[in-house]
Amino acid sequence: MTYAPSFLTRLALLAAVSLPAPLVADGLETAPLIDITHLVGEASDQDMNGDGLNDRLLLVINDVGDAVDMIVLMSDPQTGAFAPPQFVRTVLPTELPRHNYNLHQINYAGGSDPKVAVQPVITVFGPQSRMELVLKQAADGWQIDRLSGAMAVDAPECRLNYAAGRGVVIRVRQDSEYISIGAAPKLRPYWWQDGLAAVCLG
Amino acid sequence: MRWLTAFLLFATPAMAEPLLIAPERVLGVFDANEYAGNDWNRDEYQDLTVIAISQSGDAVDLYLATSDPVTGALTVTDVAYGILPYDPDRIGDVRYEIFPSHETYDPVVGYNSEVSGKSLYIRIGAREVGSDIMDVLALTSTEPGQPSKTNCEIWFVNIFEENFVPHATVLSPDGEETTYNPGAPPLLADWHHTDLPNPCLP
Repeated sequence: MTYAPSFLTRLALLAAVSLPAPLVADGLETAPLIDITHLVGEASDQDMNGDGLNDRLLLVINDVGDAVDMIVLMSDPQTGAFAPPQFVRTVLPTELPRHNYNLHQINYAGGSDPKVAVQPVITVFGPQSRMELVLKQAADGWQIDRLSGAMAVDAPECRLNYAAGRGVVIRVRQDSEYISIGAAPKLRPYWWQDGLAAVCLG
Repeated sequence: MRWLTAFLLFATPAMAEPLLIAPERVLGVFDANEYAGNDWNRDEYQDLTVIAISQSGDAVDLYLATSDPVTGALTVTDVAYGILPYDPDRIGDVRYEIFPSHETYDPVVGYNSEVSGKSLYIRIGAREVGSDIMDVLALTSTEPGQPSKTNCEIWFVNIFEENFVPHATVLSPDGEETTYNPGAPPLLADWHHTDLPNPCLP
């Protein structure tokens, strides 16, 4: 007697070979993975943890498309390889689609004194907003040391120095206004929605 | 008829799946710059070039992602597997970079070894279909302040030269210079760094 699969069995088999493959990548991966087309920035020529080896920062647009995640890859001085990546979610606002005038950059502050850790400076220039953050790694995570930029087309430009506890707000065709600011905000998801001086939101 | 319906249902092509990658594999990202380079389909949306450690861990792959002219969404359209060498034992020595070329803003991938002083630069003719290699330059650094020694120079394309003829100049380790016509630009998809003559390899 020969085995004849039922119609439903055939349909299930057909479905199994026709459905899209699961979202697996092409090897060497440890979760979480990132979509290669969401990458917007990389820099790996600075030593942020002071072990004499270069570390790496990546900027990736999140799945929603409204913010940029920062991924920190610190060198392991024992092996020279990178320690597991540290994901710092939604640290900069951004906009999709990525027009040519959207620009994401990674730079560094400091570096002249080898005893002082360099500080990453991450920037987004978009059609609606532009923002530059100077970051500092504290014991309990990343925080913002300095900020400059404008959150919207009609919002004033803010330059905030959290280390000094003061900032300046610059409005078009008006005098600059100096303001006092509180403690440096932690770099938590969407921190700018409630962690920024109200006057900077326009 | 039911089989036909099932066939049509399941034979519909799946949407392009995201290409996922581990962050620690990413070596370089070039999405836009102030000169609006990296828009090879000229649709005002950024295209994207990424270099990453290969699946086998012994080479660097290059990914080109092209924007959709309507939505701006990026899809990986071309991959060069093994465009540059990678040695996991030389993590602290070799630096990789990707940047816009000086004259044309085409993407250039670079390899620089501090220990050997050798560098290799490959300029990419990026397109939606049929991206190719424009030119290759291999250098060895000499004394500080002195110009680098050119070990290998291959010109497949030069848009600034009328009646351009592909040409290559390769210097052997004992100083013998060989000049030849390298032929048509190789397609990125067919390219591997081991296709280069030995003096060109770092």
